[in-house]
Amino acid sequence: MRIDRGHFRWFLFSTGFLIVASVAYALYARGAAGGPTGGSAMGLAFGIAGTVFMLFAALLGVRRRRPNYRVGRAATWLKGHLWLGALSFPLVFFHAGFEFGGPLARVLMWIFVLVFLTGLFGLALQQILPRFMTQNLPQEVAYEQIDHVRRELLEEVEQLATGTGPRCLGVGRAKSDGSIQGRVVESRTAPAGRGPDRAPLVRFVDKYVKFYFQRRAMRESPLGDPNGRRALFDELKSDVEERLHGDVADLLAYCEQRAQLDAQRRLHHWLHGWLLIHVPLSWTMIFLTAVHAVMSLYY
Amino acid sequence: MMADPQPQKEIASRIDLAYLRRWHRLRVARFVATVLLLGIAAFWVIGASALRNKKIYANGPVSQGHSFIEERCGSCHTQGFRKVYDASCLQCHAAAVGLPHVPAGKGRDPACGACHAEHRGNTLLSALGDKHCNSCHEDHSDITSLETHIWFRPQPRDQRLRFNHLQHGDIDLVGGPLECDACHVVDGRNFGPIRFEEHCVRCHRETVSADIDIVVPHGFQIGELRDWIAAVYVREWLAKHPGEVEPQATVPGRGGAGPPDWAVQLAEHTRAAQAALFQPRRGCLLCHAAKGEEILPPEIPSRWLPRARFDHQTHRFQSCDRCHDLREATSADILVLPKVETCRACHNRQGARARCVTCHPFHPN
Repeated sequence: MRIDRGHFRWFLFSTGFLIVASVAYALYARGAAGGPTGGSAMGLAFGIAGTVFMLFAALLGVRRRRPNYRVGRAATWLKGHLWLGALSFPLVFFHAGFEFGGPLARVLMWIFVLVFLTGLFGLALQQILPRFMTQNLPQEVAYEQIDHVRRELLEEVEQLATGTGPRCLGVGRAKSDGSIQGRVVESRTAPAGRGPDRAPLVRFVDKYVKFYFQRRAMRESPLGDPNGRRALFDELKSDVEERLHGDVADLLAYCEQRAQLDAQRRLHHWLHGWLLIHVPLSWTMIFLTAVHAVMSLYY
Repeated sequence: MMADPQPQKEIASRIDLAYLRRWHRLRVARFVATVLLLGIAAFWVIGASALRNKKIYANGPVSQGHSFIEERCGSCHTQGFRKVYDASCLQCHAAAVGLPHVPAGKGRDPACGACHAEHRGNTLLSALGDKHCNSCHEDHSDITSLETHIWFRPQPRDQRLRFNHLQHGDIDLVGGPLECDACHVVDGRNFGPIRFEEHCVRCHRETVSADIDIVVPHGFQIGELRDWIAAVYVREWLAKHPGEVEPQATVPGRGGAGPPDWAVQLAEHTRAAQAALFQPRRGCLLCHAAKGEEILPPEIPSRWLPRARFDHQTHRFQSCDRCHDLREATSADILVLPKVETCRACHNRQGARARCVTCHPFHPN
């Protein structure tokens, strides 16, 4: 989620809350004879506030699994996740008096630090990568669809090569509608009647393109390199009849789309890979926080 | 090639409509990592519980003094979801705590844990900061440390004793100047009491008279001493003049012939001895104050600053005059207590401890 003007009220609330909490902590720490502790009234108040914010942040995952529930907009939940989750970080440190405590508390604090840092990292990526993808990957598809689309594309490539398909899809012209810009996907019909000799095209697809469209063959294939790809397609263009130059261009467009899918996959891994650390650590933190709360109150 | 006017169906076929219901690899990896980490965390907590290792829940190591019961949480935490009661502390520390700190009628002593916070690491529980004191002693808010401690205020008191410190340290004193430890002998933390028989009699040896070299006992009132002197004189006279003392014959109806010469002489000697012992600024009254026939017992406090504690034993490496300036101590009324600046010379942030409890122990014992 990009931080924009829509976050202003959250920013105001969080900053105000943080200032009030910081002043309260400073006064409390100054007056606490034995130093601030989590077990004091103020320490408990900070701990409870931090835990509540932390739980709210964790509920985002639950909310996402129930998109039909009418419990506020998803964007609002995400903003709350960002700002209240960030706010819980200093509150928990106020609760602990900036000490890491015993074994369980120490593990909890380090987990929290990691959760916070991975969250910040993810937030920073969210500010950069989506815009980069929009600008550089016009044929972006949903991440979960990449493999499906890749298979579909391969099927279409084979149809294009043999000229048997009713139509083939390709990247069309650039189009804009208001502030939305992009390229459209077009369907093209194969020419009717006796066609040119497609054998070079089929051989090329069998030799390079099919391998290139396999899931993990992106880097091993000569088509994976943009310069190599253009060189190979120039060579192919000279091997086929002029009437098939359009198909060669379409085939190149397919390959470039394949390259974009792979680039998108890589960027997506960056964009969401941090969640592999952030989410498991978050749930572990919630679990250990519950243990910490119960056992601290017990003793 | 022309653009197909109806490509939507084919384009739509590219979209796998069931993808939302399927877990993609990242999501699966996230789930597996979550389950794995939760499992590790649960294993840790349950394992520690199975091994009865409760230290993982502690906020920190216990203090040095309690390290031997670190594994036995129940020694202090007698009840779950309850604070640690003072009774748990007093099981071992009752003797050290002793009398209450807060005077009767002015409230209750704070709980032990209010000052002696446990699980703060390998520290000394008794090493407390001044904040603890200042949190209650708001009337001393201007004295937050030794740096702002403005005076020492001994209680003014008539000691009923005349004593000149300066004179006793004079180089011209008969027998040489006295060192401080001639009278002030450290007994424990402080000096023991000064006793006539131990510290004064060596120089202030009062005999009955020049003729009778018998030391006048110490600790009697004037009347008692008069009788004692008279008895001593009678005994001495009888010992020196056996046979001279005869009973005087009396004639019935004519009265006595008056006291004999020996009796008159004895009475005169006795009166002279008594007068010498009780004349002002001599004999008993050289040091003691008297009211009529009553010698007032001295009232020298064992501690001049009763609300503070000073350990002379730990300061024994210092010379006495480093703290006690005898130059103006010409009278017992002039106390030679050190000033707060004297203490600050060593007790400061860079030097010896200078906390409130260094001098003012919380627990009176």
